[in-house]
Amino acid sequence: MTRVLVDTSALVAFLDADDPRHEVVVTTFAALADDELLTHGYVVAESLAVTRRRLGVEANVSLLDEVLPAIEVLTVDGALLAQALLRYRAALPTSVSFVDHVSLAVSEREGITIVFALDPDLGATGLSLIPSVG
Amino acid sequence: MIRTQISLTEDQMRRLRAEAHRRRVPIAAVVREAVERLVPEESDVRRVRFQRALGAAGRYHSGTGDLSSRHDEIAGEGGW
Repeated sequence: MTRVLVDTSALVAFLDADDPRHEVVVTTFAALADDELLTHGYVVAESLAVTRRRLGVEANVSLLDEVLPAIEVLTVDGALLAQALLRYRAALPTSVSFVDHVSLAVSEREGITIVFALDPDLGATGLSLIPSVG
Repeated sequence: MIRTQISLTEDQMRRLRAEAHRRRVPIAAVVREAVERLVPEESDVRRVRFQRALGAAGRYHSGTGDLSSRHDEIAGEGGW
């Protein structure tokens, strides 16, 4: 069972039928049925904000009641948060978001090498992105 | 099969007997089914959750299709 970190970009493209990569994201998700899907609270917060704003309350409910129960939400403790803040500070002024830095710190702690994401910023960090950026 | 011994209240035993009688199966069969319902295999729970998540795929329309590429900006619009 492979451990895969799930990013906001994948979650919103999964829900949004209008996303140009929606189909490939759904196909990728379906292929992960036997793998362990993980994320963290900052991705959840970001995903809730984006879906609420652009897809509406019903999409928020779907995310909470249908999608997130299939994904384990990992704890970001003080040490991990401090590490992510340092990384973010050191990386300024690049466009890599703070949430991405938390994802990197989480991946490192958990030994995760695969990220389910459409965000090229994450792919540039040495992590393997699925689906591949195209 | 593993044989085990459990203690039930009289009322629980009465209901168990009644259910077994209604279904025309042994009491043990009702107990086994109750166990399956109450403590399903972790893999079954995962499968159900996964299928439920898949059911939500593409249910919504942004009209713009830019959520995944601009999620950082969109998340920052307005309050959280």
